[in-house]
Amino acid sequence: MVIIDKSKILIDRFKNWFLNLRKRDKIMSVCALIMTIAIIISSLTSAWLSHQKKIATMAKINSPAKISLKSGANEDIIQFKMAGIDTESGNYKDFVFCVEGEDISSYNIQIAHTTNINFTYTIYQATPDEDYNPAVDNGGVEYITADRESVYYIPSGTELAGSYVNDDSEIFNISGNDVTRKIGTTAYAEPSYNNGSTPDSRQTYAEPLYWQTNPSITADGTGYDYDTHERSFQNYYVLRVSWGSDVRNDKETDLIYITAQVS
Amino acid sequence: MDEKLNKDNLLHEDMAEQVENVEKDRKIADSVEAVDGDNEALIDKKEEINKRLITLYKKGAMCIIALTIAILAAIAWFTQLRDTGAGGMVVTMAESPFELKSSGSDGLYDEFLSDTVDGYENKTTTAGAYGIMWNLTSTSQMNNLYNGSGTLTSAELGEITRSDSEDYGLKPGDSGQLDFSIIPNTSGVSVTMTLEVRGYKATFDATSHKTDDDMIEVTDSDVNNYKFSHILFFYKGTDNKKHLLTEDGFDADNITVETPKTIYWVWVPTLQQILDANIEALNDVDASKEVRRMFFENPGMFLKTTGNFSFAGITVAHNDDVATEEATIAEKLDLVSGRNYSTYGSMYNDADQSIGDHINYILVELNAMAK
Repeated sequence: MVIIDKSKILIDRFKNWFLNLRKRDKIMSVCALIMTIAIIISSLTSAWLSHQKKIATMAKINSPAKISLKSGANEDIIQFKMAGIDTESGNYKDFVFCVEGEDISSYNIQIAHTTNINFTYTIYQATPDEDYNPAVDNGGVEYITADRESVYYIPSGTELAGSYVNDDSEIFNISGNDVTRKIGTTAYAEPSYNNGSTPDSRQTYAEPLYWQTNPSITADGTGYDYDTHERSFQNYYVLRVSWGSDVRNDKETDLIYITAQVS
Repeated sequence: MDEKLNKDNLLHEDMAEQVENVEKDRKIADSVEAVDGDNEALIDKKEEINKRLITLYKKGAMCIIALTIAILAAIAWFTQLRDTGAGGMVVTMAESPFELKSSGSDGLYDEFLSDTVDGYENKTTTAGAYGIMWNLTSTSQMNNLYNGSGTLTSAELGEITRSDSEDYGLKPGDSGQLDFSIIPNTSGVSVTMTLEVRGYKATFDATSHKTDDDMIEVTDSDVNNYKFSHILFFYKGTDNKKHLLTEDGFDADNITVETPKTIYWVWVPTLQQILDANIEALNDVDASKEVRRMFFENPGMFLKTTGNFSFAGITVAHNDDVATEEATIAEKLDLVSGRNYSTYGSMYNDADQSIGDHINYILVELNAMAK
């Protein structure tokens, strides 16, 4: 209300000022107002008439692929442990890990490991089984979470298709038996610092052995449907470490790297 | 006695004078009254005339305004920008002094252009149109030209536009060029050109397919800064060398014949290439140095940080004397390129990730104006 009153006062003042002008001034101010309005309108329209041309195209930006490795039960990768391998009992041990991601159609899993211990590494796709009862069922791999709970995964019957890229084998004799052992060749090795030009001076069992899935794994593993799958996926795998009778619990150390790469 | 008589006479004269004066006054007063009476009548008449005049002024002003608008509207309607084709009374404005032209095939994503701005026509030149879609060739494109056999089906396009598709898209490290020509309609036309790049976000359904919803322009200022600084465009100047294309644009002067022009584009993949002044796809040290100067003048535009991270320590003030600025950059280079590179390099990569997360399509628009 105050605003309306004040503006009324202003309008009245303006009206009085205008009416009190001399006739000549009145005519001049009205003409100036008309010219201003005409100029404004014409300048707006003439701006539209200026010479401007455009040419345009549209390009797509690929979504960055999101892929990561996790431990079992959707836990952070830091919970992944390969401990407690007792070569005197049984001849294999399983470990659960997970590859998850979004906006990817296919990827590869790769393993690189040293060969101080004559272990064989294989990977199986695994599915979680929530109703698994260890007392009754068998074939499940137990994963113990950080909260000390047990979650079970069933590995599939067939191992993941893949191959070594630099494998060689040697035969050594232990306890009177010949045992074959895979070792890595220097096919992909860079010259070592000791020798300079050739990688010969690296110790045989420290030379990594590289393995990769072939063909690539389609995101969402088995049962993948390209047209109806979910954008994000989470695939569980079991890494089986197996050994023969030649392996003993001696204090050897190996390094193993597991990587997942968008293909 | 004489004195007395004189005085009396004087008095008498005075009296007579006074009486005369009084009578004069009365006459004046009467005449004034009469004039006042006339004046009143006059004033009434004047007021009437004034009132009429005022209404006349108002009517006149309205008429003039209406007439002006009507004339301008008529001019505008007659000189619309449209094909000087069919008959009828089409008055065209003076022809545009130049046209833009691009030869080739349609871009893959041209149909999404109408999501952004209306008015791009599918023609070879801008004659009769305000804007055209860029026609592309195998050398002149932004990974948006179909190179399969036959025509593209809509099912194929549906696969190409999936959120997980790597086909026909841009990623860090890509580069190329876009060609076009300026055709002069009058001899010796000079043109100023600017380039604008806008980012758009598409929507995808649960199975990664792009929906038909209109794309939305990305307005996040950080993301737009990264896009502006990572996806760079260059032109060849009169010295026939590549120069960074900034908001100032570039000029083409005194065009007399159809003149081809090229815009080079690069998505610089790593910060190292900028710091080394060696953007590999560009193959031009001086142009790479221009980018390096742009980086040091405003590192925050190129790098994504979390929390409060200040770039004051590595920022260099712009200096019109290039040599001086390069000398200052040389002093700061080790702070970024040395043992701290992993920090800054990761910030650059995070900015790239941010571009990819927020932007699905970019509109690249060249705007040319006669000088």
